[in-house]
Amino acid sequence: MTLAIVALLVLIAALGVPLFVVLGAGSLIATHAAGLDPAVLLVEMLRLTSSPNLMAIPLFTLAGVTLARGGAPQRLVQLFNTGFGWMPGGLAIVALTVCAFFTAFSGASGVTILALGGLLYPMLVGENYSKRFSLGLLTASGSLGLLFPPSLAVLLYGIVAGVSIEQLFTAGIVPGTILLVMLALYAMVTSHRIGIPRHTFSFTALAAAARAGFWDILLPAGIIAGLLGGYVTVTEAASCAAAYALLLETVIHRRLSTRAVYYEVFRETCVLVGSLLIILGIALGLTNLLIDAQIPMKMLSLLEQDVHSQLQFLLLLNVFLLVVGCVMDIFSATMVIVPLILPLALHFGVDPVHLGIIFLANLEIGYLTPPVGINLFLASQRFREPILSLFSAALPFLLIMLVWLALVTYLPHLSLWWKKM
Amino acid sequence: MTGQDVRAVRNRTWTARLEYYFTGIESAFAIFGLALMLALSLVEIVLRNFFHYSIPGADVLIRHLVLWVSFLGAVMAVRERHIKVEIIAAWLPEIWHRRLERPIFLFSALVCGVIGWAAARFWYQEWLNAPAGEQWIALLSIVIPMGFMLLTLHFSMRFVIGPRARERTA
Repeated sequence: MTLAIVALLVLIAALGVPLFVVLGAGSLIATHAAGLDPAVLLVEMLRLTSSPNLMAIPLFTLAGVTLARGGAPQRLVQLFNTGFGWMPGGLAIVALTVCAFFTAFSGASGVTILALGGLLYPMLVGENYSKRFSLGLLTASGSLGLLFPPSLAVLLYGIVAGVSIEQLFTAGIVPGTILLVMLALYAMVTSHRIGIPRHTFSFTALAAAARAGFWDILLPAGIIAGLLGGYVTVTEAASCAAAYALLLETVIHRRLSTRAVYYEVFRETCVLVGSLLIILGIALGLTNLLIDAQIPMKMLSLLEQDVHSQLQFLLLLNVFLLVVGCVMDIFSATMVIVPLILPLALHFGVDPVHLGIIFLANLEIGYLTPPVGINLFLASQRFREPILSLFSAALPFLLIMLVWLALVTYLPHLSLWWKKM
Repeated sequence: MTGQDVRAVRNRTWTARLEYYFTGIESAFAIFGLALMLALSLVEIVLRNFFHYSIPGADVLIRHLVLWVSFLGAVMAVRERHIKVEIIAAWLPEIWHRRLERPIFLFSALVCGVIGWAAARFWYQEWLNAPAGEQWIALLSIVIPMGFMLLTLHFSMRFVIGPRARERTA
């Protein structure tokens, strides 16, 4: 009976019912089955107001939307292009870096591919990069930078798993940088192989681009220094980032000049935050019911029959999360899956901070895999290409990311170097 | 509102017009909530760090504003886009998307209605049991039942409007 209900819920979710409604329906059925009043779901929802870090989500989202609307992507492309364009594979490295920057701010919600894809694709093709390489690069870059501050995905994992967000950001720096370097090396080799001409470095052009993009680049630098240096809390960083982004686009760049633009920026932020946090509110109630019903413990006892070591558990976890990443977006997966796997990971001695990095790394890759890798859909919409040809273009990048995933999963020191082991 | 906007609104069905005006009011409240959240949090940072002072109740208010913005944002997302998994829907032809829309909206309205009813009873108990000085906090959490009621209303309106009407009036 339970299996039939779960299958039915999966089916209605697959047909396109909003995820929060599916979780709500599941919660109502679970409370009914347990003979509880559905009001218990609301207790958990109200508990959201006691989470001190929750406020960071709307404010970082506001900062990201403001920057995207204010033309920061164009300014950053210009800045990085004059700075790195002279290197072999320069423009490809620029694309990777700018995409990573923007994903950190927009939380892989699609802004990266939609806002930067249209800008970078003609530039890459114009520099004689093949269409296939350019599409693969931009599709893969849509979720790069997910581990860097102030990534919403990291914030959400921290809130759901009850792990220090500052520690998660510190843990994500090395793995995130390694992935960027691995993909940049691949871009350099490819560019050398197909004989892309290198630009000459111009200090004047760099100085002009730096003048335009200086204030934009100061924001992530300030957030990283403030958070990792322990000078500000996550919520303080979020408030300052939102205020800074608004000030930057109003006073310095003057891109937010009319009331209509402000209205659009704030409205878009509210919709993004609303569609995200309503799932969190419902998922918390459902998770509590699942924990009350001892579901994680039952999963653990099932798992213990076949899995005897941490290595086996991590392998199984990778396979499971890659499948989850193929069918769910990162935010939904965080809210639904993390509470279930966290007790299992703790049992097998996996550090919850390391688990966060493994979790997000898997889902970052899941974004690139059919049937519903979200990057494939967004890129297909943006570049008007069939999903399968985009998947085949992104395949070399996917393979590199899988090697990176193995490094991140099986070498915990990459994430936990700052911790006394 | 431009002349073209006014004409577009006049051409809609009464349900679509109602939805348009409701969304306008809800958006205004959500935007005000977000702006207030930002302003209050900045003032708090300045007061805390430079004057070692905090406005009484500001922290509670900010945390509840997150709920207000979230619920009103979720209501606004009914008209735009909620997060969906849609593994099957992604591969279905457009005509099936249109056929599925109404049943999905009806189902969503039903689920939100049931949760909303439970939320209303829960909130009323919270209100009755709130200590004298903390009734304003209970009042702030009225957004939970109100949010679910509004979600029910909007999903129901979308059910009535349907995909055809939306396309005609877009």
